[in-house]
Amino acid sequence: MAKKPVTITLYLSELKYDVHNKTYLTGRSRQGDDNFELVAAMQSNDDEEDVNQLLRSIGNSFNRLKTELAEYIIEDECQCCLPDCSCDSACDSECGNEGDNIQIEDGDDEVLTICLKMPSNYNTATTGTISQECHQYIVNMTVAEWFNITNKDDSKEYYQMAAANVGVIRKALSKRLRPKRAEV
Amino acid sequence: MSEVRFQISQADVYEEVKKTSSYSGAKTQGDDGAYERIFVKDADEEMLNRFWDEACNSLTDLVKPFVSSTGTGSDFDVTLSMPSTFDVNLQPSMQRSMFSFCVLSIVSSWYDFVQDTKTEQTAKDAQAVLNDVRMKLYYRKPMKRVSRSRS
Repeated sequence: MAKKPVTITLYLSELKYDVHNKTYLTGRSRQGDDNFELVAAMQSNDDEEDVNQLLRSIGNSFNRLKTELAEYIIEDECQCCLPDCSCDSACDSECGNEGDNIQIEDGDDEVLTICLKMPSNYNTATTGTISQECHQYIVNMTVAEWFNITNKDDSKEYYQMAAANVGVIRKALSKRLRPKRAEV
Repeated sequence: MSEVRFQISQADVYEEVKKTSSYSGAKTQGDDGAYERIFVKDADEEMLNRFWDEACNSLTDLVKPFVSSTGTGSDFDVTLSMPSTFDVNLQPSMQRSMFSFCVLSIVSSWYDFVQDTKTEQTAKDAQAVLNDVRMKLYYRKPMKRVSRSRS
Protein backbone atom coordinates (compact mmCIF):
# COMPACT_ATOMS: atom_id res chain seq x y z
CA MET A 1 0.00 0.00 0.00
CA ALA A 2 1.20 3.53 -0.82
CA LYS A 3 2.11 5.92 1.96
CA LYS A 4 -0.43 8.65 2.69
CA PRO A 5 0.94 12.16 2.07
CA VAL A 6 -0.14 14.70 4.68
CA THR A 7 0.70 18.38 4.26
CA ILE A 8 0.65 20.75 7.22
CA THR A 9 0.67 24.40 6.18
CA LEU A 10 1.27 26.98 8.90
CA TYR A 11 0.83 30.61 7.89
CA LEU A 12 3.43 32.85 9.48
CA SER A 13 0.89 35.67 9.82
CA GLU A 14 -1.39 33.41 11.90
CA LEU A 15 1.50 32.35 14.15
CA LYS A 16 2.67 35.91 14.66
CA TYR A 17 -0.80 37.25 15.33
CA ASP A 18 -1.45 34.56 17.92
CA VAL A 19 1.83 35.41 19.69
CA HIS A 20 1.06 39.15 19.55
CA ASN A 21 -2.47 38.59 20.83
CA LYS A 22 -1.42 36.33 23.71
CA THR A 23 1.31 38.69 24.84
CA TYR A 24 -1.05 41.67 24.45
CA LEU A 25 -3.84 40.07 26.50
CA THR A 26 -1.37 38.88 29.15
CA GLY A 27 0.04 42.39 29.43
CA ARG A 28 -3.42 43.93 29.62
CA SER A 29 -4.48 41.58 32.40
CA ARG A 30 -1.30 42.35 34.38
CA GLN A 31 -1.76 46.14 34.11
CA GLY A 32 -1.37 47.88 37.44
CA ASP A 33 -0.91 51.46 38.58
CA ASP A 34 2.85 51.50 38.37
CA ASN A 35 4.00 48.86 35.87
CA PHE A 36 3.32 50.57 32.52
CA GLU A 37 6.85 49.97 31.23
CA LEU A 38 6.81 46.28 32.13
CA VAL A 39 3.43 45.72 30.52
CA ALA A 40 4.45 47.54 27.33
CA ALA A 41 7.65 45.47 27.12
CA MET A 42 5.61 42.29 27.55
CA GLN A 43 3.36 43.13 24.57
CA SER A 44 5.12 42.16 21.35
CA ASN A 45 4.68 44.08 18.12
CA ASP A 46 5.89 44.07 14.52
CA ASP A 47 8.80 46.46 15.06
CA GLU A 48 12.22 45.24 14.01
CA GLU A 49 13.73 44.20 17.33
CA ASP A 50 10.56 42.45 18.48
CA VAL A 51 9.85 40.67 15.23
CA ASN A 52 13.46 39.49 14.88
CA GLN A 53 13.24 37.80 18.26
CA LEU A 54 9.87 36.26 17.40
CA LEU A 55 10.98 35.01 13.99
CA ARG A 56 14.06 33.42 15.52
CA SER A 57 11.87 31.65 18.09
CA ILE A 58 9.32 30.61 15.48
CA GLY A 59 12.12 29.19 13.29
CA ASN A 60 13.66 27.32 16.22
CA SER A 61 10.30 25.91 17.30
CA PHE A 62 9.47 24.85 13.76
CA ASN A 63 12.74 22.93 13.55
CA ARG A 64 12.15 21.30 16.93
CA LEU A 65 8.73 20.32 15.69
CA LYS A 66 10.26 18.70 12.63
CA THR A 67 12.56 16.77 14.92
CA GLU A 68 9.52 15.48 16.79
CA LEU A 69 7.92 14.47 13.49
CA ALA A 70 11.17 13.20 11.96
CA GLU A 71 9.92 9.63 11.85
CA TYR A 72 7.40 10.66 9.23
CA ILE A 73 9.48 13.23 7.36
CA ILE A 74 11.74 11.77 4.74
CA GLU A 75 14.63 14.19 4.53
CA ASP A 76 16.70 12.35 1.94
CA GLU A 77 14.30 13.22 -0.81
CA CYS A 78 12.49 16.41 -1.62
CA GLN A 79 9.26 16.36 0.37
CA CYS A 80 7.38 17.98 -2.44
CA CYS A 81 8.23 15.08 -4.74
CA LEU A 82 5.86 12.88 -2.80
CA PRO A 83 3.11 11.48 -5.00
CA ASP A 84 -0.13 13.51 -4.61
CA CYS A 85 1.56 15.99 -2.28
CA SER A 86 -0.33 19.28 -2.35
CA CYS A 87 2.61 21.29 -1.02
CA ASP A 88 3.63 23.88 -3.58
CA SER A 89 6.53 25.41 -1.69
CA ALA A 90 9.99 25.56 -3.20
CA CYS A 91 11.85 23.37 -0.77
CA ASP A 92 15.41 23.10 -2.04
CA SER A 93 16.82 23.56 1.44
CA GLU A 94 14.26 21.19 2.95
CA CYS A 95 15.89 18.19 1.30
CA GLY A 96 18.15 17.67 4.29
CA ASN A 97 21.55 18.07 2.73
CA GLU A 98 21.85 21.79 3.39
CA GLY A 99 21.68 23.77 6.61
CA ASP A 100 22.24 27.31 7.80
CA ASN A 101 21.27 29.68 10.60
CA ILE A 102 19.47 32.28 8.51
CA GLN A 103 16.35 33.59 10.20
CA ILE A 104 13.07 32.68 8.52
CA GLU A 105 11.66 35.29 6.16
CA ASP A 106 8.97 37.64 7.42
CA GLY A 107 5.85 38.36 5.37
CA ASP A 108 2.10 37.93 5.48
CA ASP A 109 2.20 35.29 2.74
CA GLU A 110 5.08 33.27 4.18
CA VAL A 111 4.21 29.71 5.13
CA LEU A 112 5.92 26.94 7.07
CA THR A 113 5.19 23.60 5.49
CA ILE A 114 5.65 20.09 6.78
CA CYS A 115 5.02 17.21 4.41
CA LEU A 116 4.57 13.88 6.12
CA LYS A 117 4.61 10.39 4.69
CA MET A 118 2.12 8.52 6.81
CA PRO A 119 1.37 4.79 6.81
CA SER A 120 -1.50 3.75 4.55
CA ASN A 121 -3.72 3.00 7.55
CA TYR A 122 -3.17 6.42 9.13
CA ASN A 123 -6.48 7.96 10.21
CA THR A 124 -6.65 11.27 8.32
CA ALA A 125 -9.38 12.48 10.68
CA THR A 126 -6.60 13.63 13.00
CA THR A 127 -4.89 15.84 10.39
CA GLY A 128 -6.77 18.91 11.64
CA THR A 129 -5.67 18.15 15.18
CA ILE A 130 -2.05 17.81 14.08
CA SER A 131 -2.20 21.15 12.22
CA GLN A 132 -3.73 22.98 15.17
CA GLU A 133 -1.36 21.42 17.68
CA CYS A 134 1.65 22.22 15.47
CA HIS A 135 0.44 25.84 15.36
CA GLN A 136 -0.10 25.85 19.11
CA TYR A 137 3.28 24.25 19.80
CA ILE A 138 5.13 26.95 17.84
CA VAL A 139 3.05 29.72 19.42
CA ASN A 140 3.54 28.39 22.96
CA MET A 141 7.28 27.95 22.49
CA THR A 142 7.58 31.44 20.98
CA VAL A 143 5.55 33.04 23.78
CA ALA A 144 7.60 31.09 26.36
CA GLU A 145 10.85 32.40 24.89
CA TRP A 146 9.39 35.93 24.63
CA PHE A 147 8.25 35.86 28.24
CA ASN A 148 11.60 34.41 29.23
CA ILE A 149 12.92 37.86 28.32
CA THR A 150 10.01 40.11 29.25
CA ASN A 151 7.86 38.35 31.86
CA LYS A 152 9.67 35.43 33.47
CA ASP A 153 6.78 34.49 35.77
CA ASP A 154 4.58 33.28 32.90
CA SER A 155 7.30 31.69 30.79
CA LYS A 156 7.35 28.27 32.47
CA GLU A 157 3.65 27.62 31.85
CA TYR A 158 4.04 28.18 28.13
CA TYR A 159 6.94 25.70 28.00
CA GLN A 160 4.69 23.19 29.75
CA MET A 161 1.84 23.84 27.33
CA ALA A 162 4.22 23.36 24.39
CA ALA A 163 5.32 20.01 25.85
CA ALA A 164 1.66 19.00 26.13
CA ASN A 165 1.13 19.94 22.47
CA VAL A 166 3.87 17.49 21.45
CA GLY A 167 2.08 14.76 23.37
CA VAL A 168 -1.16 15.42 21.51
CA ILE A 169 0.67 15.48 18.15
CA ARG A 170 2.25 12.09 18.87
CA LYS A 171 -1.11 10.69 19.88
CA ALA A 172 -2.80 12.01 16.73
CA LEU A 173 -0.01 10.65 14.52
CA SER A 174 -0.45 7.20 16.01
CA LYS A 175 -4.15 6.90 15.16
CA ARG A 176 -4.77 4.05 12.69
CA LEU A 177 -7.79 2.87 10.73
CA ARG A 178 -9.30 -0.49 11.40
CA PRO A 179 -8.38 -2.87 8.55
CA LYS A 180 -11.11 -3.68 6.07
CA ARG A 181 -11.59 -7.17 4.88
CA ALA A 182 -11.19 -7.48 1.14
CA GLU A 183 -14.28 -8.87 -0.51
CA VAL A 184 -13.58 -12.07 -2.38
CA MET B 1 7.67 52.74 14.17
CA SER B 2 5.87 56.08 14.20
CA GLU B 3 7.41 59.49 14.77
CA VAL B 4 5.60 61.65 17.33
CA ARG B 5 6.62 65.22 18.10
CA PHE B 6 5.96 67.18 21.28
CA GLN B 7 6.53 70.92 21.46
CA ILE B 8 5.93 73.07 24.52
CA SER B 9 6.50 76.79 24.33
CA GLN B 10 8.43 78.20 27.27
CA ALA B 11 6.66 81.55 26.85
CA ASP B 12 3.21 79.89 26.99
CA VAL B 13 4.18 78.00 30.14
CA TYR B 14 5.49 81.17 31.82
CA GLU B 15 2.26 82.97 30.90
CA GLU B 16 0.24 80.20 32.53
CA VAL B 17 2.52 80.22 35.60
CA LYS B 18 1.93 83.95 35.97
CA LYS B 19 -1.84 83.53 35.66
CA THR B 20 -1.89 80.70 38.19
CA SER B 21 0.32 82.49 40.71
CA SER B 22 -1.68 85.70 40.32
CA TYR B 23 -4.95 83.90 40.96
CA SER B 24 -3.48 81.94 43.85
CA GLY B 25 -2.03 85.10 45.44
CA ALA B 26 -5.29 87.00 45.08
CA LYS B 27 -7.32 84.20 46.64
CA THR B 28 -5.05 83.68 49.64
CA GLN B 29 -6.91 84.83 52.74
CA GLY B 30 -5.48 86.16 55.99
CA ASP B 31 -2.17 87.18 54.48
CA ASP B 32 -2.02 90.78 53.33
CA GLY B 33 1.29 90.46 51.52
CA ALA B 34 0.37 87.18 49.78
CA TYR B 35 -0.40 88.62 46.36
CA GLU B 36 2.85 90.57 46.13
CA ARG B 37 4.83 87.59 47.36
CA ILE B 38 3.20 84.79 45.33
CA PHE B 39 2.46 86.50 42.00
CA VAL B 40 5.27 85.81 39.49
CA LYS B 41 6.32 89.04 37.78
CA ASP B 42 8.32 89.53 34.60
CA ALA B 43 11.36 90.32 36.71
CA ASP B 44 11.13 86.82 38.27
CA GLU B 45 11.51 85.01 34.95
CA GLU B 46 15.23 84.54 35.39
CA MET B 47 14.46 82.52 38.50
CA LEU B 48 11.87 80.50 36.62
CA ASN B 49 14.42 79.39 34.03
CA ARG B 50 15.97 76.91 36.42
CA PHE B 51 12.54 75.51 37.30
CA TRP B 52 11.74 75.30 33.58
CA ASP B 53 14.95 73.36 32.96
CA GLU B 54 14.10 70.96 35.79
CA ALA B 55 10.62 70.35 34.38
CA CYS B 56 12.03 69.74 30.89
CA ASN B 57 14.61 67.36 32.34
CA SER B 58 11.88 65.34 34.05
CA LEU B 59 9.95 65.09 30.78
CA THR B 60 13.08 64.12 28.85
CA ASP B 61 13.88 61.45 31.42
CA LEU B 62 10.37 60.05 31.02
CA VAL B 63 10.49 59.81 27.22
CA LYS B 64 14.22 58.91 27.09
CA PRO B 65 13.78 55.35 25.73
CA PHE B 66 12.03 56.70 22.64
CA VAL B 67 13.86 59.95 21.86
CA SER B 68 14.99 60.21 18.23
CA SER B 69 15.78 63.95 18.15
CA THR B 70 15.53 67.04 20.32
CA GLY B 71 15.26 70.74 19.57
CA THR B 72 18.01 73.18 20.47
CA GLY B 73 15.97 76.27 21.38
CA SER B 74 14.57 77.30 24.73
CA ASP B 75 11.25 75.53 24.07
CA PHE B 76 10.76 71.88 24.90
CA ASP B 77 10.89 70.12 21.54
CA VAL B 78 11.32 66.39 21.28
CA THR B 79 10.57 63.82 18.59
CA LEU B 80 9.91 60.28 19.68
CA SER B 81 10.24 57.12 17.67
CA MET B 82 7.37 55.08 19.06
CA PRO B 83 6.52 51.40 18.50
CA SER B 84 3.96 50.71 15.78
CA THR B 85 1.44 49.73 18.48
CA PHE B 86 1.60 53.15 20.13
CA ASP B 87 -1.74 54.96 19.76
CA VAL B 88 -0.93 58.24 17.97
CA ASN B 89 -4.42 59.50 18.85
CA LEU B 90 -3.09 60.02 22.37
CA GLN B 91 -0.55 62.60 21.21
CA PRO B 92 -2.75 65.72 21.73
CA SER B 93 -3.75 64.57 25.21
CA MET B 94 -0.13 63.83 26.11
CA GLN B 95 0.89 67.23 24.78
CA ARG B 96 -1.66 68.92 27.06
CA SER B 97 -0.56 66.84 30.05
CA MET B 98 3.09 67.71 29.39
CA PHE B 99 2.16 71.38 29.30
CA SER B 100 0.25 71.04 32.58
CA PHE B 101 3.18 69.22 34.14
CA CYS B 102 5.57 72.03 33.24
CA VAL B 103 3.21 74.62 34.71
CA LEU B 104 2.55 72.65 37.90
CA SER B 105 6.19 71.73 38.36
CA ILE B 106 7.31 75.35 38.04
CA VAL B 107 4.47 76.63 40.23
CA SER B 108 5.30 74.02 42.86
CA SER B 109 8.96 75.06 42.90
CA TRP B 110 7.91 78.71 43.00
CA TYR B 111 5.53 78.12 45.91
CA ASP B 112 8.35 76.41 47.76
CA PHE B 113 10.49 79.46 47.04
CA VAL B 114 7.95 81.94 48.37
CA GLN B 115 6.95 79.62 51.22
CA ASP B 116 3.38 79.12 50.18
CA THR B 117 1.34 76.40 51.90
CA LYS B 118 0.22 74.86 48.59
CA THR B 119 3.69 73.55 47.68
CA GLU B 120 3.14 69.92 48.62
CA GLN B 121 -0.25 69.59 46.95
CA THR B 122 0.97 71.24 43.76
CA ALA B 123 3.98 68.91 43.64
CA LYS B 124 1.63 65.94 44.03
CA ASP B 125 -0.55 67.27 41.21
CA ALA B 126 2.51 67.62 38.99
CA GLN B 127 3.50 64.00 39.68
CA ALA B 128 -0.05 62.83 38.93
CA VAL B 129 0.03 64.59 35.56
CA LEU B 130 3.47 63.13 34.82
CA ASN B 131 2.08 59.69 35.63
CA ASP B 132 -0.75 60.33 33.19
CA VAL B 133 1.83 61.01 30.47
CA ARG B 134 3.71 57.83 31.41
CA MET B 135 0.50 55.78 31.26
CA LYS B 136 -0.27 57.00 27.74
CA LEU B 137 3.34 56.69 26.62
CA TYR B 138 3.33 52.97 27.45
CA TYR B 139 -0.21 52.17 26.33
CA ARG B 140 -0.17 49.76 23.39
CA LYS B 141 -2.90 48.98 20.86
CA PRO B 142 -3.66 45.37 20.00
CA MET B 143 -2.17 44.02 16.77
CA LYS B 144 -4.48 43.47 13.82
CA ARG B 145 -4.92 40.01 12.37
CA VAL B 146 -4.28 39.47 8.68
CA SER B 147 -7.58 38.00 7.54
CA ARG B 148 -7.21 34.73 5.73
CA SER B 149 -9.79 32.16 4.70
CA ARG B 150 -9.44 28.50 3.79
CA SER B 151 -9.14 28.10 0.01
